[in-house]
Amino acid sequence: MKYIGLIDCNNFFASCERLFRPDLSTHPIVILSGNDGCIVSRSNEAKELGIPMGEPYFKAREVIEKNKVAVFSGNFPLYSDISSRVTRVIKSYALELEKYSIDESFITITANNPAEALNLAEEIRDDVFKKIGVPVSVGFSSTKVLAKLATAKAKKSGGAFLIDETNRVDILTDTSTGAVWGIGRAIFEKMQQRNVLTALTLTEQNDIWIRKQFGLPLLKLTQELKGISSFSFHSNPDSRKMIQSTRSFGEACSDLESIKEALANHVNTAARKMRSEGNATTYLSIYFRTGRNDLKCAHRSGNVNFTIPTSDTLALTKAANTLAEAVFLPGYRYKKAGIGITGFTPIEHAPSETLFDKDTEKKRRALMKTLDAVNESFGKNSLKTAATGLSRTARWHSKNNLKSKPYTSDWSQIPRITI
Amino acid sequence: MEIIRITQSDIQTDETTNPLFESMPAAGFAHLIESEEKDALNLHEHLVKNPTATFFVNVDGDSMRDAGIFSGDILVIDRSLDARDGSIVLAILNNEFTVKRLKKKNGKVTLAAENPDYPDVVVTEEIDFSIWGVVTSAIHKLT
Repeated sequence: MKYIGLIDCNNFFASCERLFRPDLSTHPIVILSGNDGCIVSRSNEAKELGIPMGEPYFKAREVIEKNKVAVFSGNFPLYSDISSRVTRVIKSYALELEKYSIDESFITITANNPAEALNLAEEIRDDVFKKIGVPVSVGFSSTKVLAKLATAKAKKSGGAFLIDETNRVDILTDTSTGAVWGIGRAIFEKMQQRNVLTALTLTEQNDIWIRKQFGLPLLKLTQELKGISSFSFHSNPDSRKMIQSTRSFGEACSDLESIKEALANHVNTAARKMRSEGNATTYLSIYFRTGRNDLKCAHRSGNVNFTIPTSDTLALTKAANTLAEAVFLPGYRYKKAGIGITGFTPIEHAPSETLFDKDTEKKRRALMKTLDAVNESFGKNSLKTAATGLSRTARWHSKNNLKSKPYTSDWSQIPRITI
Repeated sequence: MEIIRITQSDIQTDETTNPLFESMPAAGFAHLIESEEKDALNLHEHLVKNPTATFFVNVDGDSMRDAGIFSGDILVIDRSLDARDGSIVLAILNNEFTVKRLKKKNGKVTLAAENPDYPDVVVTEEIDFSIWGVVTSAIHKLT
């Protein structure tokens, strides 16, 4: 019998930091978002102190200082590396695998009965913990949406959980529609207005009504709650339609070259994500702006449509540069820049007769494959286009004062132990 | 047509050939040369049997000198291996990392130093102890 599983790392960023800090094994820890803005991961001890997820750092500072909570700026080279390792371990158990996010993957397995599936869940948990040192929770069911619910249960009860017809109805009765994956705040409010408060109530509504009120994706989601698989692998209720990469600068910049450098780095990040999802883009937009409350305010943006979809970092960087040159205004202190790409089509469908001749196109695709392969092996951004800037201390690099070291991707930064 | 293929086996992707280096020169060559290129010796592959579970650390101190681990060495740690009596392990003792030889005999667990100037530690119930991984190699640079 086929089961869909969701494997979710517990407090992932905090768990990664703990791996090389045994002194923090029972200590409250929080991880801050880019530019040290908000709290994006908490260890269980930090959760118990009442620090909410997403809380701005400045707001939580008092509680943090009072309880001597350990604070880390995000260390993405480390998290990326650990995430890849976790995925590799999981892969060996799975028929299919879809990496959903840095700390979550969907898998399919076969098992003769629920007990066997749960045994496998335990095996996976133990194996990941032994090999990588990261605790994970595993949820199994017949659909992705139910697997997500199962994992949420697993986190609270022993790390492995299975939903089938013996417990599905009870669980849906106890689950608010707001807690279902794919139901965002706006839809939840609409549901509340229509008195559809629990997941079970949602499944009791008429299909036509659901589709009319909330659209087709929600209808599929409801089918999934009933145990009917409607989202195949690589299609999700919230599948990515746009990829954005934005970041505030550590220090304001007034010159075009710094802006272009920042944009090139964003293009690098976004294009890589897009390629990893198998897509090419037809629309690029860029923007850069001053602070919102600055005396001299400016928000510059531009966009371009590609008649032929592209997945090529170099082509996108070139386009971003051209746009930046076209809209740049001197004499302003820019504080933030970003790009967005959208209008995706699968790479396979992108015709190969492009702006370049077939030969160059083939080489370009090969170059992108190499770029991704090297970055996969040696750490993201180890190989970038020259446009992204070679100086690590360029002013637009954001504040990350409390970063731990890239313990697994930089020889000069591996843990040092006294023996 | 001359066919040249260079493989890089340390790239951890599903493909083992680096596509950039596969090249076929333009037509026009009248002869066909085939050269077979063997993979060069790869030290990483030699030292790292389970890349997914392998990590590296730097050590300071000479408590394991007689085992051939010297201050400044890089240790290769494999978490996937099971530590046995006699294994050199990276362990956590009272929330601190340490590297010692594991001795297991008659239910007694000892973390032994390999230098008479350092004490052995007998692991008792009260002591917080866990094994992080097994040390498989020590890399000692001479220059």
